[in-house]
Amino acid sequence: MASFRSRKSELRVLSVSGIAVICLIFAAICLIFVARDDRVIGTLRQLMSDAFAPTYDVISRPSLELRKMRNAATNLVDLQASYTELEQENQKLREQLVELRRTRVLLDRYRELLALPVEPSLHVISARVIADLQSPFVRTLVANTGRMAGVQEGQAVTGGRGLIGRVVSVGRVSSRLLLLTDFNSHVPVLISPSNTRAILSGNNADRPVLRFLPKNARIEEGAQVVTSGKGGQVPIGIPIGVVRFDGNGSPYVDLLEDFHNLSYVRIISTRAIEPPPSDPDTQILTERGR
Amino acid sequence: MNEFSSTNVQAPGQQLLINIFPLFLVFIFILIGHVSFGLEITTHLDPALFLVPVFFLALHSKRNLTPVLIMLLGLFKDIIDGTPFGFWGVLITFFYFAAHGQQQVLLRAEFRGRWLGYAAVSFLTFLIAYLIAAVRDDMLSLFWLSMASAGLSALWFPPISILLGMLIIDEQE
Repeated sequence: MASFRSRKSELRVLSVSGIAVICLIFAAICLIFVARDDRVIGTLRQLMSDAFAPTYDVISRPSLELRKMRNAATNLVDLQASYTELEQENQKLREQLVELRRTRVLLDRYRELLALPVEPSLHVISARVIADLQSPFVRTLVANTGRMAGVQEGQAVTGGRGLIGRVVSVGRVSSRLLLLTDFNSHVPVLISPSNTRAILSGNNADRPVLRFLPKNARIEEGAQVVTSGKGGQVPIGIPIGVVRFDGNGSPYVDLLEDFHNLSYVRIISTRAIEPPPSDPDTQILTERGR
Repeated sequence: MNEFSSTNVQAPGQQLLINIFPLFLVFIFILIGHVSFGLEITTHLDPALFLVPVFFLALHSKRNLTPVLIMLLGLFKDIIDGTPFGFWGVLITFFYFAAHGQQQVLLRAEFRGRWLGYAAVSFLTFLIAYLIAAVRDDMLSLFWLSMASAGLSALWFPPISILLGMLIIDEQE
């Protein structure tokens, strides 16, 4: 009897293992044959994000409050140092503001003279990060704003200091943000002051690399990297970071934004480029140019 | 420690709790895994807390449906995470299969032995994850990040196993 029971138990174990093998084969077939950008999976993914957005919202709140408390405690400790630093920064910003106003007047004048199209005005949508999907395999975030707030796929996303990524899928009340560090992120950039164009590609590490640099391009360590605006969806000139070189001499970008402590993000929406207003002076200039 | 220690866990009153509660815990851990604590050291790691209840199920659950539900939870994680569809489906089912294969040995082992068994299967699972990411065009992973994730997962084993072990203790009482 005991032997029969043992045999029966063994058979049951084998059958569970057999089912596990069948499941393993099924999952492997899915992995091999279902494309990552499959439309059905993409829709399902966004529906799930929307459905779980309230849950994420609730479970991320204690963490957010803890981070706020931690930051507050750190600030209290360094209060005097922070005050001095802010004073200096404020002074610097005032000086830059004067320069910025002057540059803006000049820029508007040049734009008029050259009859350049008016750059689209930027519309910023603030959102809270409700889920951090960063792992060894993906680098994405979920924000608690979606189509209802005007978010669209491809829009640029910034933190407090610079670009962090772009929107890859949008639901009704949530959106997925692909970080610059993700392996599938490729953003056209401009390296100033040499105005060298390149592609900033993520490598699932903290330092995305610069690819497709022109031959004989001369870029210096510390050069500023900004968005090039190529493609139209990401506005030109959003700061990203500075160029650094690794031990092999390959350039990478030291990002301005700290990706480990992102609580709030800004989604930048651009409107369609409008032609310049028909001004008689501008028309004369255009005709002379011809 | 009494965690995971009993082999006679199939009493009718407790069977549902033992089979369903760990699955629910897997689901909850998949969701909780997305909460950011703003710590640089943990941002890029996946502690894979959900592997502990899967380990528990691999040792105790005798239902034929369990591997199917585990695979479905893996596919659910793929949808939520944005990883290729089937990636976590394969990994979590493999983890279950590998742990289930050592069922007899692990059930007889001391807590430290089971912990070691869990760590070994976790490292193997993350090694496979790293290899899959390495051969795919749309994925990339750093070896040390994968291994650190497995290590972090192993560190979480004792507290979660205590929680799951209570199911068995209650049943014994």
